[in-house]
Amino acid sequence: MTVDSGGLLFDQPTLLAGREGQAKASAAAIVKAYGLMGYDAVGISANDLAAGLAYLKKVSQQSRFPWLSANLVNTTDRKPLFTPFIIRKIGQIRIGIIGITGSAALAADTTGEATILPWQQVLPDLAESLTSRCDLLLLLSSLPDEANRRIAESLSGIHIILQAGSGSANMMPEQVGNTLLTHTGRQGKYIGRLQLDWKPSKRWGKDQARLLLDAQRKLDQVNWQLKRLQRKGLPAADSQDNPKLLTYYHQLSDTRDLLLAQISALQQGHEAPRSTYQVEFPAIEASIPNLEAVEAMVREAKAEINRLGKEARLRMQTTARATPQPADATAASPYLGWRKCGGCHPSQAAGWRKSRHAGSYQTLVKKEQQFNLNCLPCHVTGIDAANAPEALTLPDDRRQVGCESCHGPGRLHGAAPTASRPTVSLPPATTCLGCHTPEHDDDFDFARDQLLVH
Amino acid sequence: MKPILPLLAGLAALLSGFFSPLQAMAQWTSQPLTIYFANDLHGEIEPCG
Repeated sequence: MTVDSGGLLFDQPTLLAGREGQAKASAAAIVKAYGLMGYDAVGISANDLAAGLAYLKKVSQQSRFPWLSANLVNTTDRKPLFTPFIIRKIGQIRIGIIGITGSAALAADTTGEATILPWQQVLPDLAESLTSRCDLLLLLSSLPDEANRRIAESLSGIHIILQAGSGSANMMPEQVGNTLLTHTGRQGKYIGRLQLDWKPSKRWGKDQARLLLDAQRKLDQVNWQLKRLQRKGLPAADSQDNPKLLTYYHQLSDTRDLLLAQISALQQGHEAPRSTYQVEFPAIEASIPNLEAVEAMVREAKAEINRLGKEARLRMQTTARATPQPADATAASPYLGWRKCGGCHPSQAAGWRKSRHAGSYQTLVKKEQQFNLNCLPCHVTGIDAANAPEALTLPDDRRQVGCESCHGPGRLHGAAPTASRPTVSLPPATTCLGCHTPEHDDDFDFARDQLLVH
Repeated sequence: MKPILPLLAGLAALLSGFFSPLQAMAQWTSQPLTIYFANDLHGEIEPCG
């Protein structure tokens, strides 16, 4: 069974200006890929609504898998806008899968039609009603970790909570009450594989042999302690002189009786067998062969994303030609471009031109992604996610990770070199980490790699 | 109509037994199951270069 707890379409709750077309093309590809990979269900997170409710409804109708949310409801009648849960039969057991949506702000164009209800208003009743119909209950949740823990503490009928977007690292399953909480790290580096041996007791725990061994080991320890105290004369009458020790002796005796009863029950098979699990987080490495159909589809999607960006650039250029420009249009930008910097700093520029930063835009050209607004901000100078569309029409000497990417805009410094210093002389690691994220460069080492810049 | 009643009762008994949770419990003692789960996979689908 393959599931995702949500946030697969978009990585933010609202789409940035000018990026809607490419973001939707990417989202459509992800949905197709999930269909090809045979996903059984996905949860809905608030990010999935970034392009609006109507868009998600359309996507869900075209998906081969159900989109689940029990608490994303119509504001007027409070009825769920999507399927709240499904029941899958696998082998001998019926698995209930519920979706619950985290309470981040909804996109502006849900136009008040959608409301995210607190989980407390929907989950207790739903979980209870599914308990009698299902052997295993799974929650796909985009709520924060603390909320999922509260669910686990209060609703024992939910056996597994798979979290979305809760952290950058993989989370080994943690048992809270009778619920396992887990998630894979963000940014799609790993897949979680949870292998269960599910028992009719519907309880998590160690297997019988392990429980028996543990109980016998504890009994040995308790018996040893008791004998030690008995050698001191306990629980004889004269030990009343030391009431604390006597209390301790009686506690140990009680523990011994409990352990004996537990061992007896385990040996006679009275204790219902517990369910067990194993978890792995295999890394999604380049060496893993791609599913051919998915690979072809991703290739097509990336070509479409690039084509949309190229079209946007043409529109921007047409508009610019039709609009009267100031005599020196480039002066409107605080950025100079690397050639101007190199005029006064030739040795640094020469060193930089041999670096990978100088060829960062060409990397995108080779991959035919030079118009992809998701990629461009980290491959050019002076552009961030918010103004990404501007990257489409940059002059040639800013289509690199140039001097000003690290030292800040240089126009003022260029105009008055001694009066105005560069914004940043020695860039801190945080400047680099904006682009050298674990997602894109998990081997980045600031101390080592800063020496490669020039 | 009379002859049908025992038949219906038998059918009802059969169905109630068939669908009872206890009966279902008795039908399986252990179920292996593998769940694959991902998070934020679009990061992997959209690598830039």
